[in-house]
Amino acid sequence: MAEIKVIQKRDNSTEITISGELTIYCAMEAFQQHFQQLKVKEKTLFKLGNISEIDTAGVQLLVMLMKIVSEQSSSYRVVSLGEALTDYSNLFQLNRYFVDFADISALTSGSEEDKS
Amino acid sequence: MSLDAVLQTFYIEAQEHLESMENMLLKMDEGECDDEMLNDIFRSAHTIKGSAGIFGLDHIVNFTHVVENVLDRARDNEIDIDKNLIDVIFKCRDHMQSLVAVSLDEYNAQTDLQKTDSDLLAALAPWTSTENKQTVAQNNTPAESQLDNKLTNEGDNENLWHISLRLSTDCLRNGMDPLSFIKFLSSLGEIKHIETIIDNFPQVDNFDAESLYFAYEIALQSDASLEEIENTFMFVQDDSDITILPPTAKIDDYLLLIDKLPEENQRLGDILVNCGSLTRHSLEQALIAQSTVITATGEQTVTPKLGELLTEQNKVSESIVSAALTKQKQNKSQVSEGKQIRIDSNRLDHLINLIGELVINQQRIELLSKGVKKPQLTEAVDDFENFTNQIRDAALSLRMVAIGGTFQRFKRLVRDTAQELGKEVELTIDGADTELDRLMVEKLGDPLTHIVRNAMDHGLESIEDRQAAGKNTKGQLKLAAYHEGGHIVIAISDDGNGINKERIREKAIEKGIINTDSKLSDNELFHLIFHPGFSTAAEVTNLSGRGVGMDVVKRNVEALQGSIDISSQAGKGSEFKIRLPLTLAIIDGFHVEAKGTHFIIPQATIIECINLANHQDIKGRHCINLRGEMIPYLNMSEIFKLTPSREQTLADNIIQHSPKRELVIVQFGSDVAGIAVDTLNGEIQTVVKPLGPIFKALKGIGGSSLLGNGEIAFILDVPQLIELAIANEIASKVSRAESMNGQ
Amino acid sequence: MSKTILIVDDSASIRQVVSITLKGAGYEVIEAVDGKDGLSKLDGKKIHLIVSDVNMPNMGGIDMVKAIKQMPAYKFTPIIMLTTEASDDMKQQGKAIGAKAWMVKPFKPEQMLQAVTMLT
Repeated sequence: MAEIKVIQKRDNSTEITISGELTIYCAMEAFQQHFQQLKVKEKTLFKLGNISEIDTAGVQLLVMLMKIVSEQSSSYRVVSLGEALTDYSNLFQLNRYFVDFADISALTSGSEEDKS
Repeated sequence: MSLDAVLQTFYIEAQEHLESMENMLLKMDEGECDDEMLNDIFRSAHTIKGSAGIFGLDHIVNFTHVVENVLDRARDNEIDIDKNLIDVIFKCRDHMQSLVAVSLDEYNAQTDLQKTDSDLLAALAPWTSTENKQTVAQNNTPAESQLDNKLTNEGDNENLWHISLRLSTDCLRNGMDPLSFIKFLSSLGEIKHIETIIDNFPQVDNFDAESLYFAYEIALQSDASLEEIENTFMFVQDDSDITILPPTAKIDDYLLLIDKLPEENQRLGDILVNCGSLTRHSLEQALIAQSTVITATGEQTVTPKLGELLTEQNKVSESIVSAALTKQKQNKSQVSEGKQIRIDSNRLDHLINLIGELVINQQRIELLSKGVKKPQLTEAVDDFENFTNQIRDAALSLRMVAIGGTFQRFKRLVRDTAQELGKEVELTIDGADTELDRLMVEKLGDPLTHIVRNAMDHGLESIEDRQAAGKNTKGQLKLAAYHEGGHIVIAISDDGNGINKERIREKAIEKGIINTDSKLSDNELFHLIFHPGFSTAAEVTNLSGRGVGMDVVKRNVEALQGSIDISSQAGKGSEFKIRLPLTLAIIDGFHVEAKGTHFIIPQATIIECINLANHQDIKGRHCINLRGEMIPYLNMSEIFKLTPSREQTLADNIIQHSPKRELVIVQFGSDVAGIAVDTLNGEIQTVVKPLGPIFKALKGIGGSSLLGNGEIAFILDVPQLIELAIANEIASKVSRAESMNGQ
Repeated sequence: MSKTILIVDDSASIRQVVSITLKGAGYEVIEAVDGKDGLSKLDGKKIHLIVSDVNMPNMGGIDMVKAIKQMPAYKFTPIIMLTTEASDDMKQQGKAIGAKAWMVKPFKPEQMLQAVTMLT
């Protein structure tokens, strides 16, 4: 099961750390407990390096999370990915969004440019 | 799971494929040939090869591989399909059938099979290629592939497939994670590009973490076949929208896809371009064309729908589009029509038996309820009868099979026989949809084969003779089936020489069947053909004329409660008509009694019933004059030597001494006769129970039945009885003549 | 790390064929002889896919699947149902409770391997 830590820093940035297995088995709970009501102020950092296993539900959760965050704050960054997420990203060619720290809005416009 | 069981499945499947190949080849032989047929025949060979491989049946794999290659070249238009090739493929198919029937070990031990192998492979040589071709199956979505278009997709489409996935939101819940099968897909080739579409993501409050929102557009570079790629998604097909466009897809196919998908067109266009499945240029051209259309009158219409666009630009497309749509619907309905299951025939027979018992039971209840005057009960019993009849009819219909299948098999026989005889024969089939009892279909195979061979061998003349007679060199042979009265009629007719009456007469005299001065009607003459040991062929050919054919035919037909009639005209042709009851299992009958024994007369044979008291026997013979027609009759009690029970005798004595007797007049084919009985008990529907082997020799009885009151009733075999009546009449004629002469 | 498959079938030969085929491809295989036995094997360890027959004594496939769908740790596990006939009724029942993947017996070992690979 996933371990999710949301830390609000003194400089109004938020640090979200996800570790363990982020799969459909805990997706519902994770969403309801941590993300549905999430409020962020300014920058958000995603620390995903310790995700040991991820499936499509888990990735959807991350996408949803990033949407929530980008609607509220100015920017976000993915600090670390970990092997499981990297593999998934490679297969589905989502590297632009996870690896290159691109903005989630790039996913919706279908543009080929990267924003950072 | 034993290996045997799986082998059985392989065998059955291979047989079906081989049959399909034969049908295709027959059509091609007659001149029909289209891409779809070539595809089908290729696929059949391909499947057989594949399955055989699983079981290590190398002899099948090796041979079929070459055949498959040739068929592949044929469907790719690399080689022409001419009569020679079709002939060779025919032989190859037959050989494949022999190969499928033996194991690898058996094959290795049979040198003649191996010889045929090499002979045929040599015969195929002119058409085989030495390249190792990889198969890329055709696009099998008709509507898309048949559309005309001017714009070709300029994208790099070397083995580039486009796959559009809009999967059911429940996929993740059901354990079908795209992660697994996209990973699998990538093992089939290289995923050049995959776009993950998140347009369907809901607002935060509506987000269900267990539902699937992602959609995908994928460009896959792969040598795999359409089937292999399709199979990747076989488990997620339900409730999903999956489109696979092969490398050969045209721009119109992409336009259709864009139109079909829910997202906005421009966006979809962008996605497809991103995938590399479409070039920016082709897309722009198509979209520009989409936005303005100049009609024939020179007006400009803005942004018509995509479908209209295609039809406007290419009038031809319209008919192709609708044809393609009809075909698609046809394919769909064929798929649902073809929904069949295999049933063990024993189970079906068991079911029908039980229903038979049910019918008898229902009749018993009906009888008993008649004694109880309760309107509600009567009504309920009536309903019961109604439903029982429906169940009975439904069950019987399960036994019904269209005769088309049997007829179809004759195409091959006719073709091969014509070749052997050096004659030209055209076979027409009428009434292939006519249904009859499954048992009958099985038993008719041999009789029909005999008659057909006979017609081709003796009936139809050689090409020269036909020309001389001013006939078309192609002999006409017709197999027809239709319903008439309560019967099925199967007619085999030819436009040949007709039956040579003189020859028959000579032969019959030679064999001592008739006397030199016997006077016989044409009909009686023709029927001599059915006499055992009879044959008019000057030589016993391989095909027919061995003298064992026709009488067996007659017996087989009669075993099915049927009759066979012949008509013929010299120089014009002949017709054999086989009449059969609709079903052997349940009979609509007329219940009669003679001296206390119950009989059932099949209703379909009954013309009328009259009371004998009003008619006089003619000159002491069992014959009456009915409106000018002489009708011989049989006395039930005499024929079967019935002795009444004690009760019956008492009852008789009580009534009167001149029993009012009833005469049931029946007909079969063109013969008419009467059956004299004591009482008529009315219509009855009942289950036929076949007679045990001891009674088989008993002429005149075709089966038995259990009546509602528990009594057994004998079902009369009318044709046999009529024959009996006529024979008796002839015999008594002869004996009277003799007694007059020999005085 | 290798993935684990649970095969539930009352026929020993089927279990054998599946086991050998999948093990040969690097999977770990756990066998169960009927629905009840199958449920008992779901004791907390990670199972990546379940292959189950429909007609079995003690507890059939459909009932077992119903129970699995109630287990938080296994309710999202992909399931392949095995059937001997294209029996629509069973299929509809199964699909209604979430068993979407069906294979008809007899199947070729390659088919089984392919199906398992597709879903894990």
